[in-house]
Amino acid sequence: MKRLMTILLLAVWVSLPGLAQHEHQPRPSPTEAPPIYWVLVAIAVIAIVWFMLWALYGKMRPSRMTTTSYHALGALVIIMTLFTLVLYIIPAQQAQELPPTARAWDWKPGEVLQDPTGSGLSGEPYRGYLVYLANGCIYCHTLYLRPEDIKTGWAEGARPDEVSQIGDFVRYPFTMLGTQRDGPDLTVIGRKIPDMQYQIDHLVDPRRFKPQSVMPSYRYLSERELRDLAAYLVSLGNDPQKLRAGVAPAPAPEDPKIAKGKELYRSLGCVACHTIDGSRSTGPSFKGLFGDEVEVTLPDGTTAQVTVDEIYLKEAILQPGEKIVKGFPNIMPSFAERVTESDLEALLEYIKSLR
Amino acid sequence: MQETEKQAIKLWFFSSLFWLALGPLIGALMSLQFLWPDALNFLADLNFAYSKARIFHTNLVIYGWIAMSFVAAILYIIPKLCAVELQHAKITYWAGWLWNFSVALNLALIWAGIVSNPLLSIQPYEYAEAPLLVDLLIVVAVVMVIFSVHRTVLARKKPHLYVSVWYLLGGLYTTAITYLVGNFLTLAFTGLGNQIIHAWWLHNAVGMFITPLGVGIAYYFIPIAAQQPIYSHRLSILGFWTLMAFYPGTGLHHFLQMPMPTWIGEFAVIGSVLLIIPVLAVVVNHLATPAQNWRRVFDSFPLRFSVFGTVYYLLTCIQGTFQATHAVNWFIHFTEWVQAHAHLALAGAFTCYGIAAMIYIFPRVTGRRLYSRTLLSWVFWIMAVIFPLFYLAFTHSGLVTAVSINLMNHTIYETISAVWLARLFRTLMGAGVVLGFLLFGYLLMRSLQVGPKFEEGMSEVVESAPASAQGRVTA
Amino acid sequence: MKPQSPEIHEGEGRFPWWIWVAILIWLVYAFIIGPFAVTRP
Repeated sequence: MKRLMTILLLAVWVSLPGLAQHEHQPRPSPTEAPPIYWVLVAIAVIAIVWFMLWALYGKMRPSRMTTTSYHALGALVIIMTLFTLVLYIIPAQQAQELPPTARAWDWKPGEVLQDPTGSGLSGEPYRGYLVYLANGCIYCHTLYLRPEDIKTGWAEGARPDEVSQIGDFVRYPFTMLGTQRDGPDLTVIGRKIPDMQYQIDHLVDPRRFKPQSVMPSYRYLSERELRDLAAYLVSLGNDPQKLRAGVAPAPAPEDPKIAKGKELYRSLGCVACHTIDGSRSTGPSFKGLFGDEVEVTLPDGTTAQVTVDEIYLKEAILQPGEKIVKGFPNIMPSFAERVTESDLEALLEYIKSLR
Repeated sequence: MQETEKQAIKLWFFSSLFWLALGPLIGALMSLQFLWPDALNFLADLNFAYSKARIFHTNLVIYGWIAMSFVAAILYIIPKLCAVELQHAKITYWAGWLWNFSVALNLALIWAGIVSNPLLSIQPYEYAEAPLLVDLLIVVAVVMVIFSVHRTVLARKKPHLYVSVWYLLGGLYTTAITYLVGNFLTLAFTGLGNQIIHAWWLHNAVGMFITPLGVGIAYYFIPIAAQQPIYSHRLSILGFWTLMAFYPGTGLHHFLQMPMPTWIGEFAVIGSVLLIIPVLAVVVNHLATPAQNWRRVFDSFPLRFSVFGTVYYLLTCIQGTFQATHAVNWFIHFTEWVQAHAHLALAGAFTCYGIAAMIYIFPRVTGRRLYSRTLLSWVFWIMAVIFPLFYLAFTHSGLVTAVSINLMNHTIYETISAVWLARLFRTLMGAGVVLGFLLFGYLLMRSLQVGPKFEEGMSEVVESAPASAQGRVTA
Repeated sequence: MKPQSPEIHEGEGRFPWWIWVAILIWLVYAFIIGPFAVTRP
């Protein structure tokens, strides 16, 4: 009986590597493993099976153990550990030698990034990366997008073409992918919120912009560290070449109302969820929003068609939960307490100007 | 036992107790971040934040409590099994001070958060955050301990090596390799290659360092405390070698969906799944040994804690291999279920082993018995009842997160409010567990003063009955 | 209480037969059912 069981077990065991293959696009398949790997696997499987049988049912004479055999077995322990290490070193070596993708993060020590909003702020992304490390950001934020994340709620606003590839990381001196998400993934945070001043304000007081956030305050960082960290965040998800080319300082809007609205867009934190370049984020983009026909979800779950006009926008700012644009989460806080009538006017003018 | 040997054991022993009081306490405090984040804003005035507290917590628990209590147990067990005195006890004594200094320096440097200094900045590897300077000190301390332990084994009077010696000596060597890889070899790789080597270290910090040492310690205390022969010599051999074969390659199951060659991920999953074999070998051996003499579980606290540790070990390992399979992994990845699992292993299984070892060793190195059976019973019931509740709350929080984000497509902001209650329960139960650890520390420190004299053959703990002055005479 | 002997004796136990069954079931789950489970997104 026991022997039969063992043989059955062996049959399953030997067929394991084949059974374990399955589709996991867009990554390389197991067939791309070097042949030496399969040779090693075969040797390992046979050795383990033979050993298991011998250990449980073979003849053993412990008295035969000499000092030399103890030393040999001790060495075997170390060799077994190092064997798997070599197996890990092979793909690690391959991974760091792949060509970088076009969007790969690529900032050298000392290189300076100018704030894309034209605010005049600047910081060193590379040093910001080290600040990110020194303050343990990795324990709540990850730096890679899985294919699964696009289909689920993990990475709102991320596009399927932004799923991480090996080449994205080639220029990093070390990686901090992270194993835990207590906050959003930051792979494309710079694309979504390309605004250093907002990033700094958010680091200093996260709940000023996101009432539900559990992020701690990083107000203890020095001004330089905050700017570098903000520059690093802005560099994420943006093409390094475009950022390097710099931005002409945005011409001050003619209309003082629009200028005020633009300032409120940042200081109130609208920028955290609404882009102005048409790309998707946590909330709908402001670009071309005014005058658009949108489908909204009402509190009772039914949907309706709404034209984005001044009345709708005012309602959306003061009672955001009433009509949620379909496809977006209902997480916007009410700004009724924080904006005056003139603020509201200015914001509307600004949104109107983003045609 | 010579005096220097006792001195060395005592140093590692009481240091670990100090870190045990501190590490979990920090964990409980930082969990408040998820409940009332603004209440912890004052930390920013101290250049501190939740994220740094988390590094404090993991480093203190692993390097302060687990590592130091295990070394204390090793220094006690190895000479006993080899029937010789600990060789070079003075060296291990100074290694203990060096280790304590490293842990304290590590905390100071994490707190300082120095940016871009090759020696003093923290490293980006989980559980290996210690800056290079601390790493070097720890390497020296580990080499000192290994030197002393290995010399003891070489000087042994009995040719036959009991399985504990296998686990402990082998575990010390794999610890050394693992530590060198996690802290030094990683420096040689950039890009995702760095992450792959990091993954090798990440899980082996548990698999090649804590597991073999913890299991080796339990392999000693279970038969000794149960006064039974170990159930099976062959199973112990099978468990040891399959552990050494399957464990070291499992690390990448923490990064299964990251872009990397699939075959190495599959290798990690296959290794993780096969771990069920060494785990069952260990658990069968540990539970079948006292099975002939179950009444001892009620009498002997070291046995009771060891057996409970083994039960947690079984649960955590079944759960771990389960979590590593693709079908489950994508679902629970990034959630607190993973941390819950880590707590079941470290705060459940290996802390129980550590406590069992301490209860057993304490009277034998200090000459005093533990003065209160009631207090120790409280510690036990906290570990047996409050701890599982803590674990369940932790798991619940992770599962709700997984369901909310993966199945209902909620964002993480919406999920934070959904898990608030689970996290509150987790903090409350976690505070209970911390209280248990503090009670345990108090019990040992108080026993130093009021514990009655211990002689070999007595129970480690006095009877709660008034006739406590006499030793226990029943079998 | 008997003095605790410092010697540990080693028995000749084996896996109970049902442990083999458990291992087998587990491996079948992990390698045949698990990877192809319908729970993937």
